[in-house]
Amino acid sequence: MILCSIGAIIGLVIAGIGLFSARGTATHNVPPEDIALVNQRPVLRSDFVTQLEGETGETFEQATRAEKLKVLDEMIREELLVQRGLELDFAETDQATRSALATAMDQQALAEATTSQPTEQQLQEFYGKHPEKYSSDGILTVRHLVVPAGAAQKVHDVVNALRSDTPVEEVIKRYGLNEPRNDGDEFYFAAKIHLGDVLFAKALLVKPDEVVEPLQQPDGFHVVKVLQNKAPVPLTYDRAKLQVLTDYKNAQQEKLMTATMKFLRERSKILIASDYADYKP
Amino acid sequence: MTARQRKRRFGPVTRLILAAALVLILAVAGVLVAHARAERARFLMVTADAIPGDPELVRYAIARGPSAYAEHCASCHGAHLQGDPARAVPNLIDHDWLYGTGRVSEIEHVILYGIRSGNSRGWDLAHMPAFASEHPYNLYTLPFLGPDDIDAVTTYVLSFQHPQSDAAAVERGKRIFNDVNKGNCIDCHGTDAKGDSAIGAPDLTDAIWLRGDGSRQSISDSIAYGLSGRCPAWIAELSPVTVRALAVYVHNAAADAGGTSLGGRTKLE
Repeated sequence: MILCSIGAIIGLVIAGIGLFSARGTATHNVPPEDIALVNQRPVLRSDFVTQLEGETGETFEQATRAEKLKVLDEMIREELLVQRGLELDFAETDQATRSALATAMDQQALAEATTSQPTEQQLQEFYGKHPEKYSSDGILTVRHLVVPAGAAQKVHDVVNALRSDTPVEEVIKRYGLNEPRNDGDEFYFAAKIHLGDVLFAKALLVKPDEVVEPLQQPDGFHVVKVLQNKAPVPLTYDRAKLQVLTDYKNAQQEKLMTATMKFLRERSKILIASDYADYKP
Repeated sequence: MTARQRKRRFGPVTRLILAAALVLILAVAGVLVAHARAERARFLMVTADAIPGDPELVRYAIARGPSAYAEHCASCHGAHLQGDPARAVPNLIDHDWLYGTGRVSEIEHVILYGIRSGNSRGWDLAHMPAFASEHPYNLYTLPFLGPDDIDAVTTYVLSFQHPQSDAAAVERGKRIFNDVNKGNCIDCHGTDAKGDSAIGAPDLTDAIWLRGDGSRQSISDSIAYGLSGRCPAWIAELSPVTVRALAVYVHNAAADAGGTSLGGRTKLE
């Protein structure tokens, strides 16, 4: 009976110390996985090794004791400064810290998305839902000539010559034309940059060896002869698997971030000034 | 049954034996716990790279590594650490280390912080640009390549395994590969195309392929669509012992699979 009472009292005292003072939860020994504890914040041995090897360019075994102690001192210094920075609430006042924190939150969503591994079925479903994403880019091959402005008859002649299969080089020579670029085979996106949206769209509508209706632009009439047009080919799931995985994880990351923002907004009280009352997230 | 009746049931000798047995059990349990804690501490305090040379610590790791691997890593790297070329997940036992040289400390770092994991301590220095897109690379400006360019670079890369490739195409591909204003492949893969394990750029001259099977199409796809595999950072999920045990397990499995080139491998009897 007496022993039980003593045990109960000791238990209560320990619990009391734990509850009402920091000492109850403080660790006085450095855990084996750490090289130091700075105000109970661990400095991991593996981080220490990485930093040492990064700084000295040597392996841990090659580094001298002095180098090891120097790196340890640097890491402790950094930890102290970080802790002081938190005390001073730099997250509120320092723009670089704020940006770093916001980026870190974005990255946190990435980390969560990276940790969860989708199943094969999830990937196949994603692939099935987004067929437009998984095809090779089309390839367009054109000759693109520019006839100076104000030479309407010449344009007509050039187009007729090209349509009657006169070799492009001969047409250029005969009419003294300018060919701004000849990039050979181009992916659709590149051809679009090269030709501009309107000419590119027109070029897609004609068959190989046909000539697009000339387009008048400030620098003259643009005449395009399409030599080849390979439409995009859908990629099989096996071929697209890696892209599917990347896209799936990106989508997961975006979803997580959206959910995080929704949660943060819901639990926060955000007041907007009356002159910005039209604000919507 | 009253206390007095219980007292009568056990004589003084029996009580003494029971007490001694209890003390013995407690002592043995205490010794076992102390031993386990000491072993754990030694496992964590020793330099990671020294573990392969210590059979006792390797045994300690191997007792924990496989189950953790099966739970956390096998879904990507495969049950036998063989990777998955379709997803560009590296084979862990082929001795071709994308990052580092296969030391336990390097593997441990990857497990802790990952690759392109979102953890700022993880590896994220470079990735393979997608050259068949308008903006191939997000770290600096690189021009896109046309289908012919991609084909030429593919031929150049293939020529390391197939020296009889079309010489003119190989030469053209090599020019693009080395041109800092065009492909700029040398920036990561080096002038000798042997890669750079400091940034995770694979050696293109060996017959080990991170993605695909080394066919023309798979090489061309890598150039056209890029690569940027990810490995999670496990620091928040796994204990330090588990992380280290995993690192030793992977290191040992790699050494087991290919002899002694890693050095310091410990064969468990």
